Amino acid sequence: MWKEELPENCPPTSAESLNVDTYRILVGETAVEEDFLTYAKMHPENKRYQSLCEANALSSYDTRENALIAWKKALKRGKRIGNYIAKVYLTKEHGVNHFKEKTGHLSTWVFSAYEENTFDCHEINLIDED
Amino acid sequence: MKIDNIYHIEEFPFNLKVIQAIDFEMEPILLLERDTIGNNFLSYLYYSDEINEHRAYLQLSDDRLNEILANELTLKRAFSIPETNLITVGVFALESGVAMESFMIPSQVFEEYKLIPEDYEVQFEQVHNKVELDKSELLQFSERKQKIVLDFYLQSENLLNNIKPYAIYKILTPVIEIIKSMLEFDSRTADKHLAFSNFRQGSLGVTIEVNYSHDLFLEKESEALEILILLLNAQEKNDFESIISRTKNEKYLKYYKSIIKSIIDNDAYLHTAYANPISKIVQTSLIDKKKALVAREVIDETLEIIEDTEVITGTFLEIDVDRKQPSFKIHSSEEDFTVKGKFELSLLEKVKNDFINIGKENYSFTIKTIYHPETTLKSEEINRFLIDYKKL
Repeated sequence: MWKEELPENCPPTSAESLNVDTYRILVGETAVEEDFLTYAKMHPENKRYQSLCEANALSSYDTRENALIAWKKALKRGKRIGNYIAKVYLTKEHGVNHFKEKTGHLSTWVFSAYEENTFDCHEINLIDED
Repeated sequence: MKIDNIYHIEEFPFNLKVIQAIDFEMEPILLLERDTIGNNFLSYLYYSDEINEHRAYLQLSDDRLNEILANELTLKRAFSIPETNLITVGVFALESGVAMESFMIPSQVFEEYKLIPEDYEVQFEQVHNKVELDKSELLQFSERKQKIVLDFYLQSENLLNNIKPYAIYKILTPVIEIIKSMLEFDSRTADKHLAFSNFRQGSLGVTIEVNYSHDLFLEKESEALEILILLLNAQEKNDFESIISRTKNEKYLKYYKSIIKSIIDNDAYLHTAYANPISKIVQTSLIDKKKALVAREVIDETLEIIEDTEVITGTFLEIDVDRKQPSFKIHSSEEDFTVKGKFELSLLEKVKNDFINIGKENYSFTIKTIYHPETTLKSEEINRFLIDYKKL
């Protein structure tokens, strides 16, 4: 059912299928497969995170502003997550989502039926660091 | 900031397993980790690059952890006043998860490094998995007691560390009041009909035992508890209408409104389960903020209020100006009917000063009628106000 091998009780039962515009950070101007790897997939040998439900989800944000706030926080911690921001239209066919209202963050657990390794990205813009 | 080598230790001192992501947005920012003997550690990601992640570890008790998760203690403050005097720092290779460097730092020195931001707010959102209710266990319990039982379980992020008064006064008590109202008994006899058992903290759980009939059939309480479960599951106008048609009074709606308001205000989840030892039925309900908002929209529906002003010729039958809301009763001489209502307050002085001859003199009365149409929860209401009168 799921694209990733998920730990027990994952995704949470409160996760919902949504049709929603979200915003995700991309490395380059064109969306590639590497832009849509989960944290667990990015570090497959790192055993610390394989059994963490959130590490097997894709992160995105409900608004461009919230995505940029998170990007800036990551940069402050030392990591440049990417250089571009894209609008991604998530549909009910893609998977289920947990939405964190306080920060606008969405964790998306992708269905195995969604065979693509990328998502349709629109309005890809270079992040203005100021 | 580079940590002084005097705090460097050869090996990372703990064998930890990541248990839960408290804050995971693109990276694992704040994690709950646990060692092999069950000690809790919060690990905060203060630096990361393409190669390594640098994490600060705070060992803490369950109570301290709950205080942090409930935002009663900031993370910064928790690292400043650790329960142990040492903070551990681990630098892990992202690729392998292996600790590359480790430090053990006295807490007062750790503060000087300013690794935990002042403004970091713990963004813990309890992820709700279905509450696993053991239905057979609840049924067995009701059979042993030979009572109808209602299991009440309230979850909210603000109940992680302790029980807040709203949980008791605005949700648990109103549930009990609904039961009392449906079974038509009051607090004087409550001890005879109700009992509480199986209290749980860490959210609020309690089993309410109900025995009103004190017989073998428990019919009346079965009906009341079934209606309560229906009420807590109600989402549509029809659901409420069917509940109202099954109840004698609607006093319980006041308590129901308190419950859904508190669930919305506190983003709470109320799970209830009812078990009947006679019919062997177990029924459950779950109401969360989303469902409570839908229910509130249905019960708060307001239809347009209709106002009308009419002139009636007739005589006064009654005048009572001593009541809190002075009232009148008049008789229409033209159409032979009586009308009751309240005086508009600006008219009171005139009424007091006029020497009105009740039942004899004819007047022209100007009456404003306010009509509240029937809604799902309220029957229609008509309020009449006398706004003027003239002697004919």
